[in-house]
Amino acid sequence: MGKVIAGRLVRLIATLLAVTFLTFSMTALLPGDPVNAILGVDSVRDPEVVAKIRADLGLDDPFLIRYVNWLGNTVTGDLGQSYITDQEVISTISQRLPVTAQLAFMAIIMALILAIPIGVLGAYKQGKWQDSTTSAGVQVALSVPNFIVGIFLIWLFSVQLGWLPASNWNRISNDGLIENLKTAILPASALAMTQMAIFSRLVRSDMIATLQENYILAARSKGLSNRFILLRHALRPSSLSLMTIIGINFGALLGGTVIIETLFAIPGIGFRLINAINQRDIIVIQGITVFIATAYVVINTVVDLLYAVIDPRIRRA
Amino acid sequence: MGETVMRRKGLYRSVAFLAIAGLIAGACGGDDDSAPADTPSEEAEAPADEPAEEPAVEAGDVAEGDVDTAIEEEESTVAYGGSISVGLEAEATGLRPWEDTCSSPCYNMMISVFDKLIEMDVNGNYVPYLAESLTSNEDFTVWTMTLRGDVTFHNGVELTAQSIADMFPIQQAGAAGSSAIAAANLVSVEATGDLEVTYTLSEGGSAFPATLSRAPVGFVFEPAAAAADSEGFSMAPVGTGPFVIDSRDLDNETTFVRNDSYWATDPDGNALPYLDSISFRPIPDEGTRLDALLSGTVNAMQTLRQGTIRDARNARDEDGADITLYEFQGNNVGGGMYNVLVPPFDDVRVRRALTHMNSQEQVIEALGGTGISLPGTQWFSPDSPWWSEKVAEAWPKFDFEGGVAILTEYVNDPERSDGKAVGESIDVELSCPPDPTLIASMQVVEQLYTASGLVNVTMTNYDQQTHIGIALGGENGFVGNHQQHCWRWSSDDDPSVNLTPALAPPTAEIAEAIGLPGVVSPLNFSNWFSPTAFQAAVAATKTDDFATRYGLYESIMLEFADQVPVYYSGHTATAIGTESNVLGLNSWHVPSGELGIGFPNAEGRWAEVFISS
Repeated sequence: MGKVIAGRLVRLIATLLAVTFLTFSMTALLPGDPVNAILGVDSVRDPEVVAKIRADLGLDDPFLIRYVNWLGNTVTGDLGQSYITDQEVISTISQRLPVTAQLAFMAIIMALILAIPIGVLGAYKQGKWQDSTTSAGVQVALSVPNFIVGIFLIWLFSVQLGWLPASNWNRISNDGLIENLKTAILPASALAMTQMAIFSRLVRSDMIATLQENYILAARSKGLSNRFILLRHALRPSSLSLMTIIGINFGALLGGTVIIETLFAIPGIGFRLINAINQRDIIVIQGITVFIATAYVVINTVVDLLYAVIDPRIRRA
Repeated sequence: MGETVMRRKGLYRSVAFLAIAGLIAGACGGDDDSAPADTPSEEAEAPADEPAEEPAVEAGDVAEGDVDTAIEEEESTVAYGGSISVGLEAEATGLRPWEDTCSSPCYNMMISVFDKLIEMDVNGNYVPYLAESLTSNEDFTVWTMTLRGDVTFHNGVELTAQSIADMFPIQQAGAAGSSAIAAANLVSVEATGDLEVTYTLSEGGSAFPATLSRAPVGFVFEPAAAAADSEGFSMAPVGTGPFVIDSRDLDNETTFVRNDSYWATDPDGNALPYLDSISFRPIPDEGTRLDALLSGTVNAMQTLRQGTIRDARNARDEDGADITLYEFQGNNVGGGMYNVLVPPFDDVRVRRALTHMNSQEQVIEALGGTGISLPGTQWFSPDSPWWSEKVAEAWPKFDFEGGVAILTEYVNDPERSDGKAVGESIDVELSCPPDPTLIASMQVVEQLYTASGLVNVTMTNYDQQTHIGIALGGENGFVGNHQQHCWRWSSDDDPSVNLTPALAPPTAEIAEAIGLPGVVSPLNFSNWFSPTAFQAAVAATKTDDFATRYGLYESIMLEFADQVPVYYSGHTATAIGTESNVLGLNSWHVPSGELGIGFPNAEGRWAEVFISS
């Protein structure tokens, strides 16, 4: 097991190096001078200020030197400070991460609540009308972009029914859990739609395979109820790949809520990233991107390791 | 004339070299800060009292705009109490007037916590606000301001002339303040009495009151608090304004509560503000912001998009939404520029032809502004006192066949400037920021140009900051490599704010050639230079006589119509929408009791807003 962990960690570090290098390269390749973006009209006014900012940002250094310096700071947790807002990037992330994480968590839970019954039903009624209907519905959910779902949800639940707020975020610390959930439920639902579709397809296909196993036949021959067989004997072994995909998608959602956060004006990481891009706040862009990428890679690695713990065959392989 | 130029050399240098602020703001983004200005002198007189005849014709093309909410006294009985939330199009970068570039959303917040020294009244005059009076010497180099007495900052510190003097070094060191100070040629601010402040300018400027009416210099903040913790000040600003900061949750909600010791009253002597609290929420998506208003998630919202005004009107008129729209047709006009130092745009025939071939009516339709935005012919909208009918008539309007004829003449000219063979189509790179409506409008223009058979169009989109950087052209002596470049022109500030730097020599070579070495303005984005236009722009800052200034700016606009360095795609209509029981936005007052300017650029003044019972 120790060998497995060591191997995974080496891969993790290599991946993170590649991710940081790509992130840094891409922001460095953006057209235009970041100092123009920072100072605007002042960039033509005071050469000394321009020179100082260029020095602070290391823009006059060769690319690789800049990368190594930046990486050194990043490794020690110093992601820099926004030139636009003066805020530390790490504190920007720490303030917004709980919001995005809550959205992602709620989306996963809501997706599972729908996906498991749909997947189980589809597998149990494979080829029948119930399966066709749910499959069609899942296909639609998979095809519709989540921002379209979001717009529809706002129109229905905010504008038409007036049940839920259309935008912004009530914090648990200020407004309590109920008020918080009122602002979280629509964006989380919009995010959940695609997840639900992915999860239910996975559950269905895994269940179909499991239901053909001999031990399921044995359970049937013992006269166990269908419900018992499905939930106790079939669902659990079918959940292994679901657990994996949940972990991976949770990591992806941490960086994948950009559009929904912007649509609903949710002060999460994605919303801040979009603002930073619009303001050309390169230090913030780099910091958030690296954080998202790191979170994704780390979560994937943890899921990989858990998978190995759960399934001895993988460990041995 | 040469003599005149020489005599005014120092003047030109300072104006062109130093008065470089603001334009970018009003330029591409359209809604940024920058100091406004207008006729100054003793207590700022009124351009609107002067000519300002009723326009006999609509500006521009055949498309008609219909955006105007009257500024008038509120007839409902005002009521105290209640809270409202306002949806803004973006978060304020910061709330430090001297440091943070302030756009329309930011102004809504800053004006709640800070007072301006000077405000604009309903007629467009600059009038005292936190100041009690403002006078100048004859050549406008020394301005003496008297502050109101018995005003305290939110932290209990008394406002004195020394407060204003102590603000100055902070403003000088600030990113936003320093450029505004340079633009105004402001060299010193001294407390010359308990409440008397003396501003000294290196070059006289009749539009100086405008500087005192906008964010970097005009908003009054508590200098000791600002000096003690600049970063913290952004989260907890201290001013003298009608509301006091209560909480600031960046990118989510900023809440201000009533300043119980606010100095201002309404004309009946009632204490202000009326509301208990007001909160501002950034909601960048236009549709969501409108939905937030329609669903009651917010009580008011701003928009600078004509498409959103259209949708809000539809919601009100067709769906029966119980909302009020406070609409404003400002001077800010969309469109763009031709880089006249890049062939074929160095030939006025090309610029004129392309402008004739550009249908503002169709572009406005693509932008969703039919019936909302007026086509542009100049840097002033028809309801501006600076608007000129003569210019409106002179501007090259949509005439596709006429444009094709002019372009054909260029294309068949053996001496054509782009070096191509006779008969070959010209190449045009048309560039706008990647906003969906701007892309739609680009496509309209591209189709029109292409239909002529004489233009090869390449369309490019860069993010806004890059778009601005390309036009600045820092890499090649501020000439830039842009060709036809989307831009916004003008604002409701004094014309000098935007026009003077835009007319100064764009390159060192041009400055040298006209005997003004070193006088270079990177903010002349089209690179078009006319000695007469520049001279007129400078002369307009040396007088406070409205008729004289009007004539000078009209002459500049007429040159624009003749030389076409820029083109237009319609004035920028803006609006603040509110629930119908939220009143008072169009009926706030300046201390003299006159009505204020209203809500230009979707910037509300919230002290006299109340919730009707």
